[in-house]
Amino acid sequence: MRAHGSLSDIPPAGTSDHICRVDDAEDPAVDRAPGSGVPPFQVFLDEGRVVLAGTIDTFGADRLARVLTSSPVDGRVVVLDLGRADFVDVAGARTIARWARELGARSIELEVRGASALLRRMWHSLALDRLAPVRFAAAVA
Amino acid sequence: MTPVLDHPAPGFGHEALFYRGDDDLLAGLLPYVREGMGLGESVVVALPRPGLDLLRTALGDDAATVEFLDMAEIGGNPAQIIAVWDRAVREHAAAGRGLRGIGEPAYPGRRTAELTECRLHELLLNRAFDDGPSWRLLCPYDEAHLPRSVTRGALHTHPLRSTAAGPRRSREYAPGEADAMFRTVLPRPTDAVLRGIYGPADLPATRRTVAQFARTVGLPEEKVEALQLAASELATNSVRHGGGSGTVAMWVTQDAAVVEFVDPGQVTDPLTGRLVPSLEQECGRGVFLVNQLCDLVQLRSSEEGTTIRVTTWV
Repeated sequence: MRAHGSLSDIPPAGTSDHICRVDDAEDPAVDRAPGSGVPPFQVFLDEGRVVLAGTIDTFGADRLARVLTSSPVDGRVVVLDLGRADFVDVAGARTIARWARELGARSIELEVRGASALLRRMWHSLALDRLAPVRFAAAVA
Repeated sequence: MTPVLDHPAPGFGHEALFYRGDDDLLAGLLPYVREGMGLGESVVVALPRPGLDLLRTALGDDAATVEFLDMAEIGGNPAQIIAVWDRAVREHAAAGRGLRGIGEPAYPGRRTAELTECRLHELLLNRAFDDGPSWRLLCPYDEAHLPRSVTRGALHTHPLRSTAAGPRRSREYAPGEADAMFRTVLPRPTDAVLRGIYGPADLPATRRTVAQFARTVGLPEEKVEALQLAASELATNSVRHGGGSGTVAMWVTQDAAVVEFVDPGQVTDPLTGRLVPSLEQECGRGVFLVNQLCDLVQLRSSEEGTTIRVTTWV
C-alpha cells in the first residue's frame, strides 16, 4: 500500500528442524513478496508431517497446489500441520480441500493439525467438508 | 380494493406481516405455522430471540417439528440471510418436501445502516427465489417499534402483505428498487479517514495494515483476523476483477470500525456473495465468505465503480 510505505512479507521460517523442504521448481518466484526475496510460504516434511509455514493467499495458491501434489506421502493418513501458517485465504483453503480430495481418491485421509479457528469457520462456511472429508486436530505440541 | 388471494400462486410467496405487540404477532404466525404443518411442509422460523421464545412456547408440543433460528445469529449481517434460505430451499426441494419460512430481519434495535441493508435484502429475496421452487416466507414487521419508513418500506419490498382474511397483493411493491438501491452511493464518512491505494504487489501490506487498524481501535483478535481475511479477499477481487487496483479507507465511528474498499470495476449482479457458491465454482467465494464473517457488509456498484463497506461493531 503506497500510502503506508513498503512492508515486507513474513520473516523466513526457521529451518533447523526440517528434514526435507518441498520446493516448486516450475515457478519458484511466482509468489515471492515484493522486495523481500522470501517466499510467502514454505512446505516441508517433518517427522512424517507435511508442514505449511507462512502466508498462503490467492497468488500463491497455484504454487501450493503443485507443491502439495508433489509432496511424498504414503500410508493411510497424511498429516498437514498448519500450526505455523500465519494466514490462509479462501484460495488457500480450497487448495488444501482439493488436495484432500486427491488424497481421498487414493484412499488416503487428510488430518489437518493446528488450523486456526478462523480457518475452521471458513471451511464450514464454504462447505469445503463436502469437497473432501478432512479431520481437524489440535496443534502438534 | 385489492383481492385476497384464495390460493397462493406457485413460486415464491414473499409476504409482509405487520403487528403491534405479542398477541398480534402470534395471531399472525400461529395459523401460518399450523397450516404449513397440516400440509406436511417443513417450517423454519428465523426471529430475534424474544419472538422466537414466544412462538416456541405458544406452539407447545408442535414446536418440536419446527426449526428455530435466532435471526440475530444467522442474520446479524443481513447480506448473509439469503444463503440460509437458499440452503433450506435446496434441502427441502431435494427431499421433496414443501417449505414455509418466517423471517424477521428488520427488528427493533437494529441500527440505521442495518435497516437499510434489511431493505435491500428483502428486495433481493425476490430476485433470488422468484424463478425457483415454490415456497413461502412470512416477514413480520413491528409497527409499534420500528421507524415508519421501515414498515412502509416493507410494502415496497414484499409482493404480498398479510391480512386477517389472507394474503393480498401489495400495490406498492417495487421490485425495481433493488437495482436502484444497489447503484446508490453509501453515505460518506463524517469522521477522519485513513486511506491507502493498493495494487497487485500490495495485498500482504493491505491486510497487515487493516489488521493493525483493527487492533489499534481495540477489536478482539477474533474480529481482527476476520477483518484481515476480508481485506485480503476484497483487495484480491479489486486486483483480479476490479481493474487491478483499489483504494482502502478506514475510519472509526461512535460504535464501529469501518473498512471500505473501492475499485473501478462493476459488479453487475446484486446477489453477488449472497447465494451459497457451488463447490466447483471458482469465483464469488470471497464476498460470500466476507458476508459470513463480518458484522455488516454493504456492497454497492454501478458504472462508476464498486464499493464494499465492512462495518465491525465495537
